[in-house]
Order: sequence, then structure tokens, then C-alpha cells
Amino acid sequence: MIGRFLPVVALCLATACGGGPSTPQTPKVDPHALMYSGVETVAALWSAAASACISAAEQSGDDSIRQKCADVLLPAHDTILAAADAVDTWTLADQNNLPCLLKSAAAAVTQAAALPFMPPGTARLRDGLALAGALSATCTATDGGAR
Amino acid sequence: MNWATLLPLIISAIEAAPQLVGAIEKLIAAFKSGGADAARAALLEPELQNAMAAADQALQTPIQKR
Repeated sequence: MIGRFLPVVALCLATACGGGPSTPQTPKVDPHALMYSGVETVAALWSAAASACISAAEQSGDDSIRQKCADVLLPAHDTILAAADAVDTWTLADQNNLPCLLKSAAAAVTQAAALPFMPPGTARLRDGLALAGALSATCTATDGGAR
Repeated sequence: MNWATLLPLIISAIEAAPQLVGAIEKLIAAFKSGGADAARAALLEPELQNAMAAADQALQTPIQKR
């Protein structure tokens, strides 16, 4: 009796019977872990951008380079620290605020990276900004970019 | 928090940002040595904050004054 059903069972297993097409699923990610990764990634990108700016300014002796970077990056410094604190405390308000904090910080890094004296963008920069973009997608224009 | 709850977090974080493997390793080390509280405290990387503070200071200091 059981032997009669074995081919059916085997066929089901081979064709993902009853479960629909077996396409890869996006893994379910813990929001805190994801935001932690996003904030630390943007912080690392900010630090790298600031270092590149300072190196360019020092090598050329041109303080206007430092000033241009400072105009873009200094406001984002406090934004990143606020985002890091929000990940640490993780209240509901923090969780709502984080996407816009990330968006604001990532925008500053993007702007700094586009300055003419900056080195070419790296894969790390591209991937990090992509991660920040995905995590800040819920921050809409009506939010003002940062709260 | 135990390993059963920590492990999915670690895997998720690595999948989300592979470049953070080093940070995740520190998180595991902190958890092994001090439990969940130590792991929580390790979430903010002191080295990164120090680097940011140094860069912040450098951005505010004119080149000619160094």
C-alpha cells in the first residue's frame, strides 16, 4: 500500500508539490540588527570620507578643501551619533526616527564623496549607501529628511 | 538572551552587511565573555567613535594652524 504512494511523494518532493515554486526568499531580518549594521556602516563611511577630505586638504595645503568638507560632514557627525544612540536605546520613537537620521547622514556622505577632489568611490561606499538607502526608505519627503 | 536568539541576529546582520563581519565577531566575543549585557554594550564601537571624534576635530581645524 505504502509503495503505491512513494512515486507520488517523490514527485511532490522533486517539484515542490503544494508549496508553489521554490524561489529564494529574502531572509527575515531582526530590525535592531539591521539598523545597527546600517548606522555603523554609515558611521564608517563618514569617517572614511572625512579622512579622505583631510588628506586631500593637507596634501594640497588648500584649507578651502577642508572647509567644503566640513560644511557637508560636520552636521552629519551629530546625526550619526544620534542614530547610534537611538539604536542603543531602541524605544519606539527611536525606531521611527532612525530611517530619517540614516537618510540625512547618508546624504551628507554622498555629497562629500561627490566633491571633485575626493578619490573615486569604492565598492564599500556604494554598498554602504545602498544599505542606508534601503533602511531609510520609510523616511518620506514630508518627514523633512531628518527629525 | 541565549544562543538560540543571538544566532539569528548574527546571521541576519552578516547577510545585511557582509563588511561588518569584524564587528559581529566582537559581538560574539563580548557575548561569550560577559553575556547579553556585555554584548549590548559592544553595539557601539569605541574605535569607530574615536575615529569619528578625531576626524570631527580635524575638520574643524584649519590646515594652516596644524
